[in-house]
Amino acid sequence: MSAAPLLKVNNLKMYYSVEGGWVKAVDGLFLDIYRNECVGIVGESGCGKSSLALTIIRVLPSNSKIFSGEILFEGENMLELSEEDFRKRIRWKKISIVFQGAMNSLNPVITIGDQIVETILAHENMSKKEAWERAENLLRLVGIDPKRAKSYPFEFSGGMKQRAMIAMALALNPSLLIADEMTTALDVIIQAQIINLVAELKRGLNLSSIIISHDIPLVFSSSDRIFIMYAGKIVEHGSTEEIYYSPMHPYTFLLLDSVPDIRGKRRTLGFIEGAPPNLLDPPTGCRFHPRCPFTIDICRKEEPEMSTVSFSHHVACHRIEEITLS
Amino acid sequence: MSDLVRVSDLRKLFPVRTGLFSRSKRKYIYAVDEVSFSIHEGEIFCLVGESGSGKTTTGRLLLRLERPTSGEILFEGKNIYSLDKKELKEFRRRAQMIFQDPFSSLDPRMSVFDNICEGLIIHKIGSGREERFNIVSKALESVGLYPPENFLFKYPHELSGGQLQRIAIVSALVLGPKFIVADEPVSMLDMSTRGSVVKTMLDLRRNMNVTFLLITHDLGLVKYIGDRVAVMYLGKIVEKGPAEDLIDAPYHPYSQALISAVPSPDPNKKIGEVRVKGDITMSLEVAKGCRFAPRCTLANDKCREEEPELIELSCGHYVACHEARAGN
Repeated sequence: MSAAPLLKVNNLKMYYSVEGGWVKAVDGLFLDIYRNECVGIVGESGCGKSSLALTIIRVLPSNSKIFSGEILFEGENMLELSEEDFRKRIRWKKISIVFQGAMNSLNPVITIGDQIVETILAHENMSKKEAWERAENLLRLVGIDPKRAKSYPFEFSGGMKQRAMIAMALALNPSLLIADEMTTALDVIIQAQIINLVAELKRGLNLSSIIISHDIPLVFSSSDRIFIMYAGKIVEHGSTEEIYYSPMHPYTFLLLDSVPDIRGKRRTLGFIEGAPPNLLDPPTGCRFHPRCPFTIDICRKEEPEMSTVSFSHHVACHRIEEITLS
Repeated sequence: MSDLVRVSDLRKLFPVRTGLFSRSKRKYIYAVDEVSFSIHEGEIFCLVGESGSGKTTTGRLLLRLERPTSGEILFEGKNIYSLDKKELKEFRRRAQMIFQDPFSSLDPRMSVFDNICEGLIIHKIGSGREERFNIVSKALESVGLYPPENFLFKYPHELSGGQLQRIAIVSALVLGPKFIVADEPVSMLDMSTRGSVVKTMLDLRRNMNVTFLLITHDLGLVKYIGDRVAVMYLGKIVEKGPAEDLIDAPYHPYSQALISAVPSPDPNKKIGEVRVKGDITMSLEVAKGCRFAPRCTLANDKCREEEPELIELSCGHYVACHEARAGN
């Protein structure tokens, strides 16, 4: 890992205003990503993973509010930039995003090539011919025959459309790609092809990426480091090996126990009883305490601090010294 | 073990709408094409494949929710398409379905109790509210929703996905079913709660000897709970065999591609190279030869000409491929 992180999120709090108060979707969150690194964010639905992505790329709905924290990209605090500045310099040029079902956001009456060219011309000063060349190169990069640039979206399959969206996200050479449930709606064979593609792009283009998904095998098989998110907070993070082979937080442990491994031995699948908390009124102390089998008094009262297990492995739990997870 | 369900040469064609003035012959999608298999009593039989492979249509045919174009389905030795009215109602009670989305398979304006009770009333099980109340309470306890009073009068929106799916299972199980078709029962749920639904299914099998047809694209799940599995591709079964056996050592190039594409959470077991070309495409005509040939990297002239039959390569493990060999 090189010296300064590419992106660093410090104590970020982003809430949604709803009837009855604030939904604390991202609540005091920490995250860092280095150059040429792929970071995975894992958590149950409703834990705030997508809200985090939306906050980083600044496409939040109008009822949201950032209460505190900073998002440092290449050392510069993104939250201090004006919307105009962010749009011109950062969004799509430095940080881009591919959503779940992004393929459905392609314009059905414009050819794939024209849509990519449009994106390029909106941001960069070049001739239409140069932009077309660039669009064709991008399609080649994501494994689509450039001759198909003149096709319309309906002529593409789901997997090809999602590839075209990735090509579009890469059109302005960003240094960070956020993949929010990028392959969730696709069949496994197409999913594997796209995951292998993103891994190749990481090597070829020095691209860093954030992979957000509830699909644990998918995230673990493609990330260098993993952040486990629960109820708006990171509860544990470390290298993929550390998290998989020696999880320290009971939530991480139980979550991994609930995941089948197609290349592992057959065993009984575990599960976590109950549901993630309502973020309108999250539990006191450790947010996982109502579902945790190891809860004691202190867990209900005090919020655990992030403590260091190793240089790269950190966990927020009161009881890491006392309990053995296996 | 005896066969609970026996399917032979099942075929379902869906007509495709062509242009209003089109003179061409009517075209059909071969959703299910000459599929044969049997499900033993008390087993979890899995159907896997990509979207569009015909696995859901097969499940619906087995419950008589669709009519097949041809072929035969025997349930406890009786053809389900020639049952009389009384027998049909009995079949409807004994063969149940669990759908993918528990948020839409339960009525949002009825309480959990009323949702479950509906089936009891239709099939005249229990007399009076009190007796039914006891039946439902017991069933809720048996799927781990404890204490039942906390759930009975809740509405679907107040419960989590895992809890709702277990309630959907309860509404099937109170009728005393013999056979349940579970179509992607956990794919809408968070990983953390899938295990609870899986446990419920396994308990039902152990305690009540319920037989399951599990339709899923989640091969990891099949390896963990399946007894036997059939892999479908464009309406055909291309391989079937004991679940662990087939997933650890698939013979068919399509099964191999499908299985190698599934990621493992273990960072030391990366996804392999996926040896397959292009996408699954619906074909409107029956092409000659093997249906997987256009995407197969092993395909040769014989594959394009002659359709392979299912043959037994090792004990109970069948494959339809000209190039597959035992120990491959």
